[in-house]
Amino acid sequence: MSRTRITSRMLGAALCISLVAAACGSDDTESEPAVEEEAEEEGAEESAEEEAIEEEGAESEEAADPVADGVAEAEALVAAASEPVTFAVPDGVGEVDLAGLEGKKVAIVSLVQAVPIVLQWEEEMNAAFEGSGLEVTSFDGKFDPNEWGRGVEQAIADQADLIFLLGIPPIAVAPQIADADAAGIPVIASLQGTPGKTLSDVPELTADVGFDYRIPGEMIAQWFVADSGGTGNALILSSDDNTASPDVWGAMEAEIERLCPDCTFTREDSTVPEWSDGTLQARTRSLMQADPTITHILAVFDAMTLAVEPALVELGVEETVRVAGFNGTPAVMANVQAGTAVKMDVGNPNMWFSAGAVDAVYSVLLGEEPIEDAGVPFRIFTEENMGDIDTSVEDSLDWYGIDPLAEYRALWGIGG
Amino acid sequence: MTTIDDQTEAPTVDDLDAGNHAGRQTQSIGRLVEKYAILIAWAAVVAVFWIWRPETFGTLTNFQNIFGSQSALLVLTLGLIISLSAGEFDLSIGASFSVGASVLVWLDVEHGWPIVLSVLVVLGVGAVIGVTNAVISVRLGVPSIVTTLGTSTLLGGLLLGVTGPQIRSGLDSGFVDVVRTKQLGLPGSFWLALALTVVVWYVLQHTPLGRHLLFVGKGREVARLSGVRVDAIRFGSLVASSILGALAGMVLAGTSASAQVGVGSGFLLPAFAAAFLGATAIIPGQFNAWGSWVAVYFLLTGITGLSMVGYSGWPEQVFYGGALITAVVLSQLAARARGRAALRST
Repeated sequence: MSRTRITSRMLGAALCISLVAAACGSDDTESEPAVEEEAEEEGAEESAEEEAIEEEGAESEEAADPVADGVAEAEALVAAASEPVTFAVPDGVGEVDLAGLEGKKVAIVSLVQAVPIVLQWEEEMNAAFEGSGLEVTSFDGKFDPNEWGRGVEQAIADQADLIFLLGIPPIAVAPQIADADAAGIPVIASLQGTPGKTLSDVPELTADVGFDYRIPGEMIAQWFVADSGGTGNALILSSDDNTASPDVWGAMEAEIERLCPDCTFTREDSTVPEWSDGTLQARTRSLMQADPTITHILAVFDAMTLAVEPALVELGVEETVRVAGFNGTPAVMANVQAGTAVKMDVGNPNMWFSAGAVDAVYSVLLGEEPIEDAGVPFRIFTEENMGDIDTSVEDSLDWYGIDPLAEYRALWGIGG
Repeated sequence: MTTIDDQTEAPTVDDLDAGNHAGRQTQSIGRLVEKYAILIAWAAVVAVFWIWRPETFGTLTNFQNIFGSQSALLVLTLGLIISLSAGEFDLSIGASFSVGASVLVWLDVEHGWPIVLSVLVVLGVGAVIGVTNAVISVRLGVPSIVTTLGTSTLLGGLLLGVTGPQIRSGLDSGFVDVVRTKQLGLPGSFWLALALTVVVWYVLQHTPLGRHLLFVGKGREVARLSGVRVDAIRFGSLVASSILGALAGMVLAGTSASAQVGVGSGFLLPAFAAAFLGATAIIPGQFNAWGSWVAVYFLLTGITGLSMVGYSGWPEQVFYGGALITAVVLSQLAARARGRAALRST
């Protein structure tokens, strides 16, 4: 567990507040240049000089109250992120030469099909592939490194024209990627936190496409600062066995430190299996009992909140502790909508990523430069802006006000 | 059902001879079918997918892929059948597997230890895990299923604390080459697993130690009365199981040049499935090395074929579980039929 106490910043903030309070007694509103001029005046009396310095401090503190400014900025960012998204074309997306794709084979090797979001990405990619003339096969990696490697080897044996690793960390299958490279088969990795970041780890990789996981981390931090009025104490729940987790919490912590000098936070890591085997629920309960001053729980992935919320109910603090997470998982969205302790969820139109991934596949197969960042936007969901949307299944149009697949298809010139 | 008691007329000597002969013939055919049932099923599965997808399934590359990609599971299963043969359940073998993979990468990559030293240390750690299990189970009398459940959880926590949850990569390329470099079209890990299969087969079937192991597994008290050193056999089986578990983890690490904590938990149930499925083949009713070998590759052939024809995911699990249940049930029915035939022939 890592604990960050921003003691020096708190002392600094206290000093600033006392200076501002002292300055409030003064009626002098002279501008700074004038004060400097007065202070520099040769032979000036000592009392006048002291007064000028005091006024200078008052002026600068009034201009930059870090707590109020941070909260104001956070509120503005949250308000903007709560609005429906608009479609923006990533550079490089355009018409697709269907003749160049005809009869080629694409092998998708997925992280694990038993996880709903992974299966959703895969199904959406298959929907996006429709009309392309490509033959697409699928391999369930079962969250097992041995299976991931076997999936790649099987795709090589199957003489695929391209292998797409859906969520699989490429460093865990580096030798197999080298085999594919030797066989002349390009391999695309995806969803590894920051698009393109794994290319240096595995040189044989052709591309690394995805969305920027740091953005939802920042959004959760902004919501926390705004929601707590700049005085919150957060418990951040990470899951570093997922390669994207450090990107989310890293950005989250940096944004809290940037916007909120008075906020404090601690971080606790749990493995993915612990989310659903009762461990995370028990851990949350213990941590809450150990530090009753925790005001917010910020989960790197929102499925973790499904274990957090019952722990808060058990402790009877579900009305006072506020929870947020990232992923737009339907069950969690339903909890937000129902007014449970889960007050906010950051979501993104997953079809946008899937279509972007398919665009990268097209580009590689056609010998063009693939996109890395699909440009997927994120939206903050709270009870206030969700209304009565259907949370049982993600619907891009209903949730985000956009149909990314239709937009992409129009650009590709494929189908309607 | 016909039994001796149902006979209303005393049989003649000729009748008895004919009956005995027919009974023995039925028994031997039944035994043969039972012995090679999985091999027959394996051939049928190969034939179905070969016809279905000749251009992809029926290729040399595909069979090289099948035989070259489950060596870690096979080594793990071989470790498991040693303890199972002695009547001990080693549930910590999955954790030993994780230790083997993670500690090897951790020592070699994070601490820069020479790979040979790292391998030896990991094997030593595997031995320590086995000794711990054995002392608690054999010396203190705690059932091995409880002991190893505890040590499995303990090891999982220690491993997470020591090596962290992240995937670590960059394992020594020489080690990776040994595991992955192909000879006769198959990787080093396949040949290692094959050699271990031969060793375990020889020890179990052709040495006094192996026979003692089986005696202890069949009946601890009878074995003790027969002069077998039961405690030493049980102790050794648990140590061997853990060492092979750690070795299997290192094979996996060599295959992917990386490791992540908890990787062994996903191998535990497949290893048990392969061990029990293997006990229905080659030497029915007994955990055996070649039965395990056949079981691992039979299951893998089925799920490979299914994924090639577009039935990845849940159909694979249905096949995996269905094959295990079917084999065990048929083996049980065959044993009962054999028993009835033997009864009739007396």
